[in-house]
Amino acid sequence: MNTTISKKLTWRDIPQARLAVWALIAGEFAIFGGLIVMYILNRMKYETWGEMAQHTNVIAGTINTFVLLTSSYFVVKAHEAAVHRNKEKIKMWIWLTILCALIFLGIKTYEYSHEIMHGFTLPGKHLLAEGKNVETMYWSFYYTMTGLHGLHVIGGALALFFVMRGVTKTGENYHRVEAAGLYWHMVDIIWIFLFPLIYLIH
Amino acid sequence: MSSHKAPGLEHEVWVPAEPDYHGHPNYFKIYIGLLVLFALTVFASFIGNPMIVFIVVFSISIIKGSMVLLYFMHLKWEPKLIWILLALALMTLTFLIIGLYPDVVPVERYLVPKP
Amino acid sequence: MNTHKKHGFWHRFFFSLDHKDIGFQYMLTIFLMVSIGGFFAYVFRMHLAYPDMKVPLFGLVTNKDYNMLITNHGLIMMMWLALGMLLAVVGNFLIPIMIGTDDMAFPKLNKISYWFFLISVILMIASFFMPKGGLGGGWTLYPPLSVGDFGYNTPYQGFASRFFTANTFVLLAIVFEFTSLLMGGINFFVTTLNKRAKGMSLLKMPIVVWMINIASVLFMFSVGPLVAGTFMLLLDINVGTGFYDAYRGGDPLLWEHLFWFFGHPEVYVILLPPLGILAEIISTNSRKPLFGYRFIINMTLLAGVLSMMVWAHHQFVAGINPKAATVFSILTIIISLPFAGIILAYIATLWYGKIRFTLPMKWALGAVALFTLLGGFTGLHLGASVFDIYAHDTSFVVAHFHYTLFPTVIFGTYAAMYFWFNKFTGRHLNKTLGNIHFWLTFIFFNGFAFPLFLLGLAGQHRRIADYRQFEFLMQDPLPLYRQIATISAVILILTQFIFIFNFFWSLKKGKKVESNNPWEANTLEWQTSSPPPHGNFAVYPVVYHGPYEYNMPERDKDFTPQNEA
Repeated sequence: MNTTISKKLTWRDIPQARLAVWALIAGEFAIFGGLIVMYILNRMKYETWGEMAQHTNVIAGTINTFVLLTSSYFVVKAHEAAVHRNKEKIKMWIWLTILCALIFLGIKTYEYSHEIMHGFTLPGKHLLAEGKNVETMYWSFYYTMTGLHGLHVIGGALALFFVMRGVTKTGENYHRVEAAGLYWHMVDIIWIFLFPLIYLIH
Repeated sequence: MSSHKAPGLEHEVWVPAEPDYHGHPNYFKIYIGLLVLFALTVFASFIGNPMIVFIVVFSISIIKGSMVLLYFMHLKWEPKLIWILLALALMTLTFLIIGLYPDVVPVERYLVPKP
Repeated sequence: MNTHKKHGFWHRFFFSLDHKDIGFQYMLTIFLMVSIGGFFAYVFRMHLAYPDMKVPLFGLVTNKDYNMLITNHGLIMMMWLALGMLLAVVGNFLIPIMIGTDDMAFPKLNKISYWFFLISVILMIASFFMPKGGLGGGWTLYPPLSVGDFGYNTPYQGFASRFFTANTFVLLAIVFEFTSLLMGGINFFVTTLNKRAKGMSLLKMPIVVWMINIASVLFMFSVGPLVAGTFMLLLDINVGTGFYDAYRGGDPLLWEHLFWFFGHPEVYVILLPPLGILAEIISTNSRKPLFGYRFIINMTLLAGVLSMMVWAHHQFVAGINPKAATVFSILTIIISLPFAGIILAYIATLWYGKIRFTLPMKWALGAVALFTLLGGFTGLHLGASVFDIYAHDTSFVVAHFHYTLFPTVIFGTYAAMYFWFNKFTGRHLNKTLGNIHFWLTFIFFNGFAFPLFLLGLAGQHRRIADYRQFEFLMQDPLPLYRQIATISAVILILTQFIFIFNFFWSLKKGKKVESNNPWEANTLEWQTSSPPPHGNFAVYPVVYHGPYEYNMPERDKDFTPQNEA
């Protein structure tokens, strides 16, 4: 299929690591997209969810969005450094990205603990006791979506960490920086959709 | 990319046309653009009508997501196969939302009272 | 090509990255699962025909036992047998060697996929031994029944009593299995795109490779919403959320939609690889090019897209919007067209061919006949929502899906086994035993499934443990039909032992192959030794033309291997 040094690309010429990550990303879009579709439909149905949304910490969510967007920028700079084979820069940019991930998780933990203390839990027993059955579903969706997203943040950060270690140790496989970076961008895109849908619409 | 392939399998090593065949947009400009759109999203949430807020905010999200996809993830320079994969994911979600809508939104299901 | 010392069985089991070894591991694991699923079928069929009898090897079947048996039979067969055998086993064995390369694109990922699959099997089997017994809610896992008797409206009892239940373990098993198949699917897809032999364009690939890839991609997208939904169901069971609880604003119908959004494409996912296998066998055994190669691919792609638009035909009587039911009904009837086209292409391949009635060909022809005439046509019946209102949940549906699944999954698997066994082991399966196996299976499968159509039309519902409570179902000849179905089913199951014996005996003592290419086929796997070495080829082939050049006028042989100029 690919024999010469310099050739025009066909509609499917792509190295296998990138192809695999894109296929994974498409699959994850189907999973998270399914959750988001269900959330949107239920949100359209139950107007009372709007008042529940007011109990989310919009400031925390805003800071988190800013943190994730910035981390996306950092990771693409890491990719740029990888193209130039600059190990030191790769290390720096990826550590910054992981730092952003940790900040995100920290703020999320703070938000969760606050909300749980106010009785907005995953099963929502306190709300049930008050007779607010339908509103418990809002929180069920909230924790499920942000929780699954959080797991992907952890996974993505771990992937970036191991890729960085592998590349700086062996000096080979620079393409893996981009592959792990692609996954990280996917995590960011999901949050770009989650944030307004959960926090902002009243 | 290293090319330690068994003899006879060298054709499997992917060699790009140029050292990096996709363009390098100005990542910083894209980042600033994303932040601007993000600020717009937050301000838009103060409009009164929830339906309009939803439409505006969701549209901005789509634009932001597209910017990350096209420029940070270099989708603009990727071969068509990747576009097809993403289009399939989008198609899946479209069928899902169309199919689920009639059974979720307009329906008043009987809320069973707690025994 | 690698050379390394011979390893023992267990060393290979744990560490081998060779796709053929991994395919064999999947196959052994699936043999185990199908034995369990088949045993369950034997038990509950005996109970249905002879209600108060103590079933040999099981005992008296209570209603709870019955529910557990039918549920787990369905789950094991649909999830582990069908998906496992037709995606994991067939894909692992065939893809790298048919495209002329050494192994998968990601051999270690392939290994991990197997480990996830094995974990899913362990979890599934563990679910039978849970304190409250095996899962009894129907293989479709509809809530609130699948949330269990500790679910909605029950005082919270503590996480452990909810976690250590069959419901949780079955769902976890499914999550692990889906993850394994997703990883495998990505592996297949990347391998097919990036590791083909020189000269093998996509349109020169054997069609079975196309089919497996389209199936993997279709699986990947349709399973997404169900993965989300499964997490939601797990949370409902273990944490007490209310996603599917009408009291909390949730909806059991949501699960039905999510399940069938995957469930319908799934049956096409498990249909496509056997269709590919049948195409290979029919073409080779007719000594004719496959008719309409590009047509078949286009029809498959069309069917794949359409398959994501028809799922609610499983829910016609569940309370969905009737206007939506009409739309789904029309689309369901339309989706029969691409498959009809594909079958017509196979018939055109047979037309005026020099038919060789080899054993794989018998299985292939049997599969095409039963799938089309009895499975496919009754699918049209059920696709019309007005008929489905009568037939839903009756034995008519059971007969329909056994006539679509059994010919494709089982007959297709056997066709593949009898065709490729000599390639991957270097020995032949015994032909006499094979013929006995084929004819007995064919006859007794029909003996089992056909009466179910008649019973369904008479109004016999499925998932009912004791038909004696219904006067109209005890009138002659219905009990007789049930007995015919049961006895045929038991003989059918016993017949499969002939194959198991043949398989394992021939592995060690079968007649050695006298040539690498006993079927005189064109595809690349037949151009290497039997069994192939690690790395599949001593010299990697270059491909010059497509795989269906049989009886070409300008050649003297009636077949032209792909790597022959």
